[in-house]
Amino acid sequence: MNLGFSIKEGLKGLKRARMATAITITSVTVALMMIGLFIIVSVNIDHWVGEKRKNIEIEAFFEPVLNNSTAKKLVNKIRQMDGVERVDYISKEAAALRFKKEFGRDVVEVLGTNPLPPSCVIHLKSTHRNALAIANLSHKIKKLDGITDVVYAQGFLQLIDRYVTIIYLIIGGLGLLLLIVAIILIHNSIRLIIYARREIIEIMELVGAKKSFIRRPFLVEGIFYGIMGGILANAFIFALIQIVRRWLYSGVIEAPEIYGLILGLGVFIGFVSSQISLNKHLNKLI
Amino acid sequence: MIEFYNVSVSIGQKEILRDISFRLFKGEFAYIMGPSGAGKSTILRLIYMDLFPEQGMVIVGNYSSAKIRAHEIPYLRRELGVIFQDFKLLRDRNVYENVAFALRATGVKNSEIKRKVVRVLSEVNIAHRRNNLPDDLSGGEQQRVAIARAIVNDPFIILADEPTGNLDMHTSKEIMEILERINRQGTAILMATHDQSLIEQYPHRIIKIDQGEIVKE
Repeated sequence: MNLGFSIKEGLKGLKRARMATAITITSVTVALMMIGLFIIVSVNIDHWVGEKRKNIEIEAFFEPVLNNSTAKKLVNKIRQMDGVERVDYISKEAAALRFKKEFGRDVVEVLGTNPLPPSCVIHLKSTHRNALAIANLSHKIKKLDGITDVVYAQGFLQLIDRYVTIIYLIIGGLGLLLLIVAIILIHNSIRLIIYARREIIEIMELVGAKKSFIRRPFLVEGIFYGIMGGILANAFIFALIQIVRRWLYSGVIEAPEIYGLILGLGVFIGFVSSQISLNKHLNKLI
Repeated sequence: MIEFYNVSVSIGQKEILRDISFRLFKGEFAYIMGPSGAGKSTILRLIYMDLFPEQGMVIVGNYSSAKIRAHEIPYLRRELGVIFQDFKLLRDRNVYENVAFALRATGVKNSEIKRKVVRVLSEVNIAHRRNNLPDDLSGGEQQRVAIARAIVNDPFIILADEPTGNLDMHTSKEIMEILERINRQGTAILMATHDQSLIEQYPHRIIKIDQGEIVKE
């Protein structure tokens, strides 16, 4: 079958119903643009959260009486634990130096002795930078003989985990809603086009055109709506990112894959919605 | 070539055809005659399998209404030509494109389309209007375009549903002359009409139906 003919017929159809075409493309553009912006926002939130999580570490304090070699054995034990990326050991002396650096006074001069316990800073693998994994790891470390205390930013982590999940759920829900709206819009346009062109459909049937051949121009139209919506949405997203970078916040992450994704999404919703419409409305005619 | 075996059709509660049986042979010209609502168009729809009998069977060439599958119907229709009272032309395409459309829709190659369309337009004497839109044509000219479209695929039969219903007597005769010529070339014609005077001027076999039954043959 002649695909060129189907494409030509599909494009002719768009030309015939210019107003409906313009309205559908505009609506699909808005829906795809919103989806694109939601994804950009998600990517940026994800990046921000990732950066924050990178700085999250656990600090474990050893009993002050522990000598350096016993402490280092403990450090090695911690290193073997699941989720641990790196462990930095801080001896009593190093702790005293850190104290001096931070407070400008020598702890031994002030107190006559060094009461600071040896400790270690535990850096985590990216897979374990969440509240639950850290809580589990801390619990395990705390149970080791020679550990007096384990400290990490528990409240901050819980806050991030809770709100990020809520934000993602809201964004995902809205995105899905917009996707459905875009599909309904194209579906409706194709339904109206099928109705307006029932005469040509009837003639195609009478002359012996196959069902698939009759459907094809409508599919072309649906996909065209999606592609045009995708291109325009991409243009708006690109422009908006440039504006935000220039005038509001230069650190916005663009994620170039988004443009391919939006275009692909446009083609997908164009195809799916015209298929739904054809199955529902064209089958009544043929 | 076309056989109806005890065919009955109802639409909703209404019985349209009751126990109809007849045969149409190769190259034959026959009228289905009867008043409006008698079931003439239903018989034609059964032949191009837009409708299926509730009881009985319709055989068209190698296809049987009892066995045909949905994907085979387009192939059956490519062997038929159908013309209507209201011409059913595409208003936004010129004469040439209206006829070429029937070939394009069935996947005929472009090189063949031009040759075939030019030939059939000449056959029905409308080639000089090939670039005109249907609205620029008279009723008779529009029906000639519809006939050209019906014969462009070289069908073995033309199904004509009141083809002269919208035309004056003079133009009706022109259309009948064309149909007669096509029939002489070997294509069967089955024409639904209630125009008694036309039947008298172009006498052929008559299948007379009334209230869904064959009352005279």
